[in-house]
Amino acid sequence: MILAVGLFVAAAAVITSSLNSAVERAARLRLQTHALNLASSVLAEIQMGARPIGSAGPEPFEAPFESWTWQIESIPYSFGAEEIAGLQFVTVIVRHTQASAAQRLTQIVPVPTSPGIGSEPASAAVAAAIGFGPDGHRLPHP
Amino acid sequence: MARVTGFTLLEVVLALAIVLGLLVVVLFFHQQTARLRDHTLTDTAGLAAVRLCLDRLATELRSASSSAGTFRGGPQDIEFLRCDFSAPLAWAVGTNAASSLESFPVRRVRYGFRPPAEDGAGGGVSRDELPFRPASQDLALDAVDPVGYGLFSIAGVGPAEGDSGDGGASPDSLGSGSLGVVLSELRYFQLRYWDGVAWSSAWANDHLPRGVEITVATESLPVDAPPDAMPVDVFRRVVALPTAPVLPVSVVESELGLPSSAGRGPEGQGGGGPPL
Repeated sequence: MILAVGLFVAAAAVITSSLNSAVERAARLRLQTHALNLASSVLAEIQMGARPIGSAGPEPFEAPFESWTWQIESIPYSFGAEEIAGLQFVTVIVRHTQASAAQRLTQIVPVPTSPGIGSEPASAAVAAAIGFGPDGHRLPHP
Repeated sequence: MARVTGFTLLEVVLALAIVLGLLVVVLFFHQQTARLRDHTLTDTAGLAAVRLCLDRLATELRSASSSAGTFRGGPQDIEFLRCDFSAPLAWAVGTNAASSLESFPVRRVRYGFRPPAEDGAGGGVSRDELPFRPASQDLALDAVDPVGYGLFSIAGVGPAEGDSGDGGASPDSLGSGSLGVVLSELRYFQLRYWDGVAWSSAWANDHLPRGVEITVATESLPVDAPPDAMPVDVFRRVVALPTAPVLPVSVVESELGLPSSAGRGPEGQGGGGPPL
């Protein structure tokens, strides 16, 4: 009898522990989904010209995401030792204020010339960086 | 005389009581475990649906055609042309691949939302896709007027039952097309469109919006909820459309019916961006 009760309690403990782990992982997945959505949204807003491209934050998001903060780190992009004009290396960091959840996204973003992105200087810089001139022809090797 | 062995009545009753007690504990534990398992499974399925919807819609929006008049959006419906660059036709030069409807790379994609019934049944986010082929094979794609060639009223596809614009669908757009519900876990779906100055709940301009905001949730709103209410736990993603034109501020303001922003600062840079 005592052995049976002991086995039952042990099995119940294992099952409860597994379930707790599953619930915890589901909660973590939910937080990661929020973090990824918020970080990619901030990057999209930079691309849309709706948010300044310079370094800023950390600042809280507006409701209903006030428990999350965003931070932008922006440095000029360099290809090898050469700095490429018109391109920024932008890193967006999103953190939860209470749980240990964070997401970091990095992207090379053209510097917008007023009033938006897609400017000619940025396009020319990208073309030059991959070895093409403004007219679309491959540049001679240096 | 042999001694009779066995259990007394008290021992039997005590044993039965212990067994019954253990059984009650086991049943309660099983019930709680099953409930927790169901809740976790539902939660995970909802998260998977959210991620699938956001990822797929974002990917397709980024490849939306910038041809005039091919993008239309309402608060809970969106329709646009996209090109499937991985289709064989995209790489088939000099062949008659265009005669094959299935391999034609330009497709009309439509996402729509139907709210669940009062008892919580039905509803969800649906997606359908139809190949778009110019009436004349001689026409180049960029010379095709999508409205004139019946892009938004494809022959043989009539309005679906209950798709008359009630219950959340925008009443005057996106009228035709048979929608099959594919993500019934999603009970809330809201779209907004960014034109460089402000967010709007519908889009009917010839050009693409600069960005689209997608908000989804796995819980629905009460019937008597105010129009601007949203569920407690919503998932939101903003998608930038790279082929959208950068228009002068004055053009955007006139499209949106806003007063001139002369002296208000640079476009789109005020206030640290749109509210998320």
